[in-house]
Formats: sequence, C-alpha cells, structure tokens
Amino acid sequence: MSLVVEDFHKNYGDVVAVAGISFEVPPGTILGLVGPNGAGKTTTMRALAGILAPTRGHLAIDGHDLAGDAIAAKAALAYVPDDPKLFDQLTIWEHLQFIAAAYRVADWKPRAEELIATFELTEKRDSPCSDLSRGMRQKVAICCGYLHEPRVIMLDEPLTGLDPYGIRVIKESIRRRAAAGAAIMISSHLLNLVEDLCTALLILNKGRQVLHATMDELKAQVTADGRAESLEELFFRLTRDAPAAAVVPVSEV
Amino acid sequence: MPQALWLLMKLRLFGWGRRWLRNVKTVKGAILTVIFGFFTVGWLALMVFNAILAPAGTVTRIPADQVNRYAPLVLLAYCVGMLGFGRGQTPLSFTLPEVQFLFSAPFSRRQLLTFKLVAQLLMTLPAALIFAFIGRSFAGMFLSGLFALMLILMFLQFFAIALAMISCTIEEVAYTRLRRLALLGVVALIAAAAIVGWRARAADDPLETLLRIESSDVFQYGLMPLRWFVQTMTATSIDGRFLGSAAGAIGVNLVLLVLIYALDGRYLEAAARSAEVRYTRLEKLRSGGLAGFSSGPAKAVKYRTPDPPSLGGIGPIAWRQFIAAVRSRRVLGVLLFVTLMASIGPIVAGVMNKGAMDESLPWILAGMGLMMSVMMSQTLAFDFRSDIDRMEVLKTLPIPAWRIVVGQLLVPVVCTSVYQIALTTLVYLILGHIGILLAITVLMSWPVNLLLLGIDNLLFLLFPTRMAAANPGDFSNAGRQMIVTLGKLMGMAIGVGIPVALGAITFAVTDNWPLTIAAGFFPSLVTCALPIPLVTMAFQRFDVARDTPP
Repeated sequence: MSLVVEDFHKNYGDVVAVAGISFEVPPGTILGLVGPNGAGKTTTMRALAGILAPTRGHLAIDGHDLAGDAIAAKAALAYVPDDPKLFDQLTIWEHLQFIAAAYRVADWKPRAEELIATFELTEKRDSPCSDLSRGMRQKVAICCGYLHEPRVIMLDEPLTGLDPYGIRVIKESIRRRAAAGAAIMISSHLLNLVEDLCTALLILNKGRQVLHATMDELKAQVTADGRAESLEELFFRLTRDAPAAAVVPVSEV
Repeated sequence: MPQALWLLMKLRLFGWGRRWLRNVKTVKGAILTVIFGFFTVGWLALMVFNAILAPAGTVTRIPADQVNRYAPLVLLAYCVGMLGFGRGQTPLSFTLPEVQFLFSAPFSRRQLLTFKLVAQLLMTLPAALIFAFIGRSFAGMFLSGLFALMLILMFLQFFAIALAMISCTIEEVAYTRLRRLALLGVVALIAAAAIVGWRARAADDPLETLLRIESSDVFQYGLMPLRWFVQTMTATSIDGRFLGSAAGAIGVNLVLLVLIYALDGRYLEAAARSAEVRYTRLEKLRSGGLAGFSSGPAKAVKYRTPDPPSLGGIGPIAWRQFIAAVRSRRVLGVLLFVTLMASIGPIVAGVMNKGAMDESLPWILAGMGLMMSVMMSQTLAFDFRSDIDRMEVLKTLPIPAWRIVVGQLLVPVVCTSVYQIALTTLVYLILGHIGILLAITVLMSWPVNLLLLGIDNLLFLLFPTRMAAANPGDFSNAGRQMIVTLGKLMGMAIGVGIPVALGAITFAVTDNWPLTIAAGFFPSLVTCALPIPLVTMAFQRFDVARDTPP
C-alpha cells in the first residue's frame, strides 16, 4: 500500500478534529477526500505531510512509518496545500532548483523545463513569485510537487484559481501519474471533479469517517438499488441529513 | 545541515538583493532609496567615527565597574520577564512558505532546527555590529564589545527558544506548574537575598536595603553567569580575565544550545500553528496598518449601531471608519502605552528635582503627549492608508471624490483631537498651570490634525505603500517614511506658521488678545484645509491597477 492510515486521531486541546479514521490508498488509486468545512480533511492531509503530529494512530507512506522513518516517508510524498505560499523572493526556476536539492533529484533540469512548459509557465520562469497570480502560484506549487516523481501525491483543493486550460492540464497530469502507479489523494469541495477524476471516495464529517468505498462499488450499489443518485445527492444525504456522523457500510448506501 | 537548506538561504539572499535592485530601477524607488541612503550613510559614518576614529579623550565612557554591576541586572530582568510573560508556545519563527515546503520535505526536525538557528545567528552578526557602534561607551574595546554583544544576542535568543522548547515538551498544564515552580524559585532567591539584606540593613532606607540585597553573596552568585557576558564586553585587553569571562559566556550559550537540541521533540506543530497566526496578522498589518491589524473582533458584536447620516455621502464613509476605530481597542491601548512610556522620563526628573520641575512638569508632560499623538498617526490610520485593498470599492462609489476624502479624514482627525484634548485636560486637572495650552489645544488641535493627516494621506496616495514592509531590503519604504516626516514638518511650517505670524503681527499692532486669536485661528482654518483638494486630486489620479503596491 502506498498510503496507510490506521486509527488516526487528532485533538487540539479539548477539540477533536479527527476521531479515529482508517483507510488505505493503493498505488494507481485516486482517492477523493470530501466533507463539509471542519470535517478534518486538511488536518488529515497535514498530519500525513508530517506538519502535524497525530494524537494517536499509525500513518505510513510508501511503506515507511511517518513516526519512525519520517525522512524516507516524506521523500516519497508530495503535498500541495489549498493555499500554497511560495517564497516571494524566489523565481519559479529557483523554487524548482531548491526542490531538486531538497529531494536529491538528479538531472532535474530537463524535467523542470518540461513541467514549466506543460503548465504554461515558461514566460514567467525567471519572475519572482510575488509577481504571480493566484492560479500561477498554484501551478508552481504543483510543479514543485511533481518534480521528484513522488509515489504519493496529496492535493488540497488543486483547482482553485486555475483557468480552464490549467484545470485540464492538472486533471490529465493526475490521471497520468495514477496510471504510472502513484497513489493520489485529492481533497475538494468540487464534487463533480471528484466524480469525474477519482477512483475511490472517502467522506468525512465532524472528524469521523462516514464512507469509504471505491467509485465502482458505489455505482454498483446505487445501480443495484435502481436509483439514479448523483455523488452530490449522496454527499448531502450522508453529511447533512444524517443525524450524527457514523460509518455507513457501502451495502447500506 | 543539508546542502538544500544552504541553497535556500543563498537563493533568498539573492532574491532580496534582486528585489532591492528592481525597486531602485524605478524613478520613485530610486529617489526614495537615495533619500534613505543619504541619511543612513551619514548616521553610520558618524557612528563609525565616534566608535573607532574619534580621539580617545572625546568619547565619554561609562565606568566599567558601573557596567559590570548594572548590566547583569538588565539581563536578569529579561530572563525573569521571559519566564513570567514570554509566550512559550512559539519556539522558532518559521514563515508559512517554510512550513509548507520544509516541514513536508525530507528534512529531519534537527536539520530544520539547525537551519533556523543558523539563519538567526547570521542575522545576529550585523545587529551586533550596529550595537557595538552604538554602545561604544559601554565597552572596554571595540572588538570585545562586538564579541560580547554577539554572545549576548545569542544568549537572548537561545534562552527564549529553550524556554519555549520546555513548554512544547512538557504538556501545557505541567508547563504552567513548572513555570510557577521556576517563578517560585526566583521569588525564593529574591526573598533569601532580601532577608540577608534586611539583617544587614542600614537605618530604614529602602534604597540602602535594596543595595544590600544586590550586594549579597546569594544574589551575586546567581548573577555570575550573566556577569560573564558583561565582563567580556568591558575587558580592555585580550588577557586572562577576558578569556575566562568569554569562556564562561560561551559555556552558558552551549548549555542552552544542548538544552534546545535535547528538547526539540514537539516544536514542529507549535511552529506551524504560530506561523499561520503570524501570517494572518502580517496580512492584516500590510493591508491596514495597526488599524487593520486590531480591527475585526474575534467575538460576535453585541450591539448595533444606528444608521449613518448621509451628509451627501460623507456620513457613510466616516461611519465605516468610525466603526473600525471603535472596534480597535488595541489602538487605544498602544496609544496609552506609548504616552505613559514617554511620560516616565519627565516624571522621574520631576521627582528627582522637585523644586525646579514643579512649574515646568505639566508643560513638559502635556507637550510630550501632544507630540506623541502626532507622531503616532500611523496608529490612527483610519483613512486611505488602511484602505489600500479597498481603493477599487471607494472609486466605484456614487459619491463625489472630495466628499469621500472628507469622510476618510474625519475620523482620524476627530480621534486624534479628542485624545489630545482629553490628555491635556487630564494634566491640567491634576497638575494645573497649563490653562493657556489647554485653550490652544481645544481650539487648534482640529485644524492642525487635519493638516497633518491630510499630508499623510496625500503622500500615501502619491507614493502608495503597504504599512508593513514585505521585504527587509525594501529601503524605498524607509525613504518614504523620511519624506512623510519632512512633508509634515514643511506642512506644519506653512499651515501653522502663517496663522501664527498673522496672529503675532496683529498682537504687535493692536495688543488685543481676542483679535490676535481671531487673526490666527481663521486663517489656520484655510491653510489647514488646503490638503483636502490636494488629497482629492491624488485620490482621483490613483490608478488601482498601477499604484496598488504588491
């Protein structure tokens, strides 16, 4: 398994942000992480990125325990936060230069050139990042994430601020990397993106895991019941209409 | 430390230089940088001359025994202050990009800790150099002063970090208990010294008793590690005494460093959290200065304000700024704090020299309060300066530009004037003597504040900038501040000088006070209102796309 989360808990003082979630993301899978605001999505991702320490539980990336072998785990990971903050004084190229040094990427320049061209950043290659628009900053952060060919990629709201071309490029790149064997986790409020792109779904609500299933399992279940329920309808039914967050087996969806 | 982190430091340093060069390449940036450079180079040259080149007899030195005696007490006060009031939750200051890029990268906790410590220590070098020039009169030699100041700055940083590491390592409750225990220990030490001093007290003089405590063995042994730093600074030659003190000071820093590395277990999360808080604050500060920083109550507002009067559009504009001012309690706190701090000197002088100061103290206090409130116009920036990110909205309002300007200036003028009048009234009620100053303040504070704030806003719209610099290399921002100060002085000379001259001429000719006041007051209304049309023009020509600073 590329990404393993077992009984993950995260508390901030008395506030329970995440209360015991467990899931796995195998290689080649694109997992959609959805849930209302405050469900615990970003906390989960930040803990997996090594920014937050779990209160309890076991997290592993590419077979490396995040608590015991953090450096090896992080070397296999790319995390792009929902609002990427870049080093304002550095250019796009210098960001990639730093990432190459940090992740010890050999012969990184052709790969960097290719990424910059793919994301249409060539013209701004040597501009300081303080001059970039929100969408361009997002693209730079994604380029930095892709440069070291990570085995696990976590993207928090990856389409924010992007133009239609940028959206298409990112969607294609996600599919391509998953096909190449990367495990990908996407957190998003855009349910049509999740429906379109993801092969598995994890719904969180109030820090608890409400549903975890593959998209094929979900579709099969919905079709078997003779319903024509969209992901949006399912999401509302499980998160807003449900009286309390509780795990729902796929067979009961 | 990994090569990548050295590379990051180098790239950022080049980035700062690049941004500075880019600023200089624009006409505005070049002018502002030259102005800043002119003053700064002059100041630095004077400092270097005084520190190194001035003949030995011309520099006043503070006796080494005095420095050795009192400077460790200052360091002790810092340590006790950190223990009692330091925010133990922020061990190291990481920026948000550092959190996002470095924390999830394959670097160990200790590598990141080393990166941050090295970066901080590199910043210590230029700071120590400047302090060594400024504090030349304290040091035995320039080099010993420089070396000791580097050690002292390291100590201050290491002590704060070590304290914060303890708070991160031990759970919150335990830390609070530990802190209480440590404070109890300090109190016990002081009590022990007090008892020793009390036993040996001379007469009933409290000052004498304090001196006895200070000179007691217990207290002196406790101060020993801090005295090593000071003795390093006051050494007059590289001899055994200097080497011994320096070795002791280095030893103290090493102990703290070992403690930091031993307790680095849980700092990452606290650092990430504090980076976010700091980033949010900085964004508010950059957007609206202290006014923006302190606005936005954390709790829901419990009261509703009445609808604003229209006044042709002036009302709603002023009303919005008024609401922001009312909900910015910290601004008032900062203003009061600075005024109180500024008053300490004259009060102490008054106590020490009672007879001579009885008459002049009220004047000095009131004068300083007025001057501080004028100097602190940055704090009361409830005008265009706090609306840098709302200029688009202001420009699209269906209100004539001059009315928007009047609405924007109204609240800071009222706030500053009311504050000054209240302060002068308070001093008058407590100490008396300043009836004339009170009358002048009540009458003249409004037009003068309108003039000063008008100049502030005019220069802001002509040379727009964020109220907090985004870049340490942004010398043009410092140059801009100098231009604002010069502009205010020139504005004061014209706006106040002309009415004063007219008043003086009238008094000389008529010897009549009411006529004199009228001759000064009415022209002042005209001269002090002059910025309004100028600010209106500047507001109209402000190009949101071109002039909004990054």
